[in-house]
Amino acid sequence: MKHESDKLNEVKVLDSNITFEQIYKSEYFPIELEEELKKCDVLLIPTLVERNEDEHYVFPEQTMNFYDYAKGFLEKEHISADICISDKDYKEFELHSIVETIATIIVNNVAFPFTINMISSYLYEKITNRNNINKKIKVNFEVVDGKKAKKIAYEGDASSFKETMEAIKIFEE
Amino acid sequence: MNFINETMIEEYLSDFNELYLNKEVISKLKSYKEEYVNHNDQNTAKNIWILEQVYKVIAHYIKAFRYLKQKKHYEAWCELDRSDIELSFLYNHIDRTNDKFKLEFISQKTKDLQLLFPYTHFLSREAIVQNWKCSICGNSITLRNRCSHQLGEIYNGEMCCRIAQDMKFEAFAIVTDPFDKYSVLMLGNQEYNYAILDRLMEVWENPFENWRLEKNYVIKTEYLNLKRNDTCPCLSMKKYKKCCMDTPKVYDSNPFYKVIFNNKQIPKEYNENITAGTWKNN
Ligand SMILES: [Zn+2]
Ligand SMILES: [Zn+2]
Repeated sequence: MKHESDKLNEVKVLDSNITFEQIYKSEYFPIELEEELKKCDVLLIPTLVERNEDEHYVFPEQTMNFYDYAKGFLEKEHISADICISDKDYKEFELHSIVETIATIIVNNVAFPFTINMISSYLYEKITNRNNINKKIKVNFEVVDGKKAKKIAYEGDASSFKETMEAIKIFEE
Repeated sequence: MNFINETMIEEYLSDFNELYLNKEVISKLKSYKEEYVNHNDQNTAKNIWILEQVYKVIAHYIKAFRYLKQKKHYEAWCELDRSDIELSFLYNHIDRTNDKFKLEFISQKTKDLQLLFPYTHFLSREAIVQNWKCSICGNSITLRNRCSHQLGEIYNGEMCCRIAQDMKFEAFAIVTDPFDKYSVLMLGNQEYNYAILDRLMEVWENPFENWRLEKNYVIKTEYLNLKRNDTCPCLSMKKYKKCCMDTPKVYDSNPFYKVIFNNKQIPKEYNENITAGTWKNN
């Protein structure tokens, strides 16, 4: 029998020490776009994969569409968002998995609730358009608040994303 | 049948409930579409694209049915997958509440049939892709530089997609829940067990005849014939009634399925004694 995926909705909050400044100094940071990117409160950042002794900075498949959506949605909220890579270095890593991975996002804490709304409406449009109500997703955030930072990892049903994310407290001492 | 316009084809497709589609439909639709595109009637050209997609969804679905009748299981599996993919392209462009082409029925039957297949492991391809082209205008697409065509929209009666120009295959992985369902892992020395599907196909006469699946769970052997006050077999040292009783823990996590035909007398033994393992003879 085909097994139905029954992984529970899971969100992890971990300590992190990432900063926007570190991203600006990273090797994939496109210097020619420095001015625009440094204004952003939301940046999509690549992940490093190693395959066959090569290293690649990659984004999950469909990131180009997600980027359009994210930029458009957040602009309406007067939040600047962009993707931290030059056009020529942009690569997608295709996994052909039923789990939809969304690009890792570094976000200023003030813009975080808007980012959650943006993703949940992105998922909603995808879900209603597609034949898949039980879509599983994976999203990683780096949330920065002044000198503090947290890594947030969500894995589970697209339909539970918003509810789960809104219930967590990130910077509660 | 002699089709004289797309409205006739639309009626033909919405009434269709047979085993073979009229192949003439495809060439007719193509020539009508050309004509509308020449007159720059984008709306009608798009409606013809919809009919072409409906044709493909039905064609793959009934082909899967015919393959299943011939016990060509893997071929049927691939056709069901194709049908589902073509259907997913359509969803952005049709009103799903008015199901005049029985697409919701086909989608449901496809899901039900997929559950009855014994496949558990698939090969999944990993690749790194760079450089895309627009299928409509042929221009290359980058993050910040696009043509005006929107992915998935219909232009001149064709769907806009992105064609990857530079693809590097990196690896294959074995997965249980793949996106590409055709890459079933085949093991040389083992044969898949299709007993449930074969039994269904003895009774299922027409691809548009309905049936439904009933999901059942089997009680694990250690929980059979327990009394309420017995010690629970889960090693908690508690009484059964205070522990696992009436919880999902007593059931095997893999469901088995019964096929139910609503308006049909089928032999009593039909749903009994079906071996439901993944492999034959184990
Ligand atoms: Zn184009
Ligand atoms: Zn117990």
